[in-house]
Amino acid sequence: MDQPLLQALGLAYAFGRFSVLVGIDLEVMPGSCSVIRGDNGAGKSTLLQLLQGQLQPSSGWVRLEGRPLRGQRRRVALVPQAPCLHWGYPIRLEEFVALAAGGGPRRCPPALGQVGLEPLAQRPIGSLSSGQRQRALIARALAQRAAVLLLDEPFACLDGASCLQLGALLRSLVSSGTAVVLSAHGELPPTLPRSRTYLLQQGSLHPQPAQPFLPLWQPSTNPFG
Amino acid sequence: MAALNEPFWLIPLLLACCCGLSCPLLGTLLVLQRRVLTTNLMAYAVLPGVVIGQALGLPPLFTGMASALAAVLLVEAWIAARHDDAGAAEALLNTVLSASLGLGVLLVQVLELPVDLEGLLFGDLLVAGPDDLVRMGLALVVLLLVIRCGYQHWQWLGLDPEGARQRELPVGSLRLVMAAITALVVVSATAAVGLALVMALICAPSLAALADAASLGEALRRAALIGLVVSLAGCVLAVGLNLPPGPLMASGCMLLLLRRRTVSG
Repeated sequence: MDQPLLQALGLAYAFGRFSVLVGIDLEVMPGSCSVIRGDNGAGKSTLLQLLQGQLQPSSGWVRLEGRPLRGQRRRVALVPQAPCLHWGYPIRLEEFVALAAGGGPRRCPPALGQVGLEPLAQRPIGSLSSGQRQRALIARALAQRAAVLLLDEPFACLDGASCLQLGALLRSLVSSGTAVVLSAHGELPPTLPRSRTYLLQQGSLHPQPAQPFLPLWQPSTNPFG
Repeated sequence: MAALNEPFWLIPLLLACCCGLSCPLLGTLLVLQRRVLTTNLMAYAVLPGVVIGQALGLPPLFTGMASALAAVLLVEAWIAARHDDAGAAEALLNTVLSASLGLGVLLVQVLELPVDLEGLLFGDLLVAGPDDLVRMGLALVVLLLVIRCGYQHWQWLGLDPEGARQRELPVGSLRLVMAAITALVVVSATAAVGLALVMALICAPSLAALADAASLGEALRRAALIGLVVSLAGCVLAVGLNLPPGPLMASGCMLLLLRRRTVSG
């Protein structure tokens, strides 16, 4: 039986006196997709930050391949919902992605090609649309050879076609062995791979029964053409 | 123009070159890392350290740097402890800035030190000596080494500090190194432009260079070239017009911004 790639046991976190997460247990297998659902303010972003090591839990632990996260946090990439990036920074997309790889641009093109941004390699990152920026951040995570990709509300600000594309991209990443964990509070595109689903409610994580994908969600059509 | 052939102009000219290269190179990194306000604080916080150094017979370079670093660390510790918002943090920083200047002036009066306050604040390039040139040259070399050796780290700090922490880069140590090199350049530039005017040479060439730069490297090269031209022009005009070079350079930086606005508008 495969060992879990990322494992959290008894995670708890509090903001001052206010307890946000209690007793969170989670196992993420290689080449899997996990979806964490929950209402706004449920603690989804906090949980992802704990899984990346950005926050220290008040109790419990997180292990990557059985070892503490410290020293290997690079292998867990978090794409936040609202990244505090300086998008006006003078840097081209190719160099932006290569920076994460820690090497020259030769390591960059595959990552850009995987997310479909290779034609934009020479563009300044400030000129990218919101959907392109999100894919650029995913390319950056791929360039650093992250084993686990954490995505916070990745579909929240995307249009219909972009959601389908991102879902298909995540499907290809999962099939190549990357573990994906994403948070969502709305509908998901049907191109997303079959996933383990959890509900984060009142600070606890509850596994949800597997559901077949139904075509409940369709991209909007342009009424003018 | 004949005066420029005199050998005693060589040191001020070389000092202007070193200053015109160092300040904009540093400034480009500081602008991108959004540390300009902190740098302004350091520029004024140097003064008490320099005065105390003179009083105790210690090298003013080191006491000035220590004073500047202490002020920055104190302010950042206060901001972190008080959980202030950006507006309150800015007010706190500017209070310490003004207080540092006041403390420096008070120390000069109380200790009755023969300190050239005007020279410290506004620079006195034309009477700079070999020690000033060596200090500035050393600061330039150290700065170039720091930029070269930590190029990708400085990119992370300016582009995505949170991403840098995700990758376990030593963000705190990098900020400390940046603060130390800032203090070194600011103290060293005192002879040329003075503590009150150094910010113009740090910021204006950087802003002009960043306008259309497609990479950090391109921005650094352009900023250095612009800063060199401004400094040399200030030095030459100071001789020709018999005006103080520090204020001339600072005023030239303002013209630089006006010219940029005309071109872009």
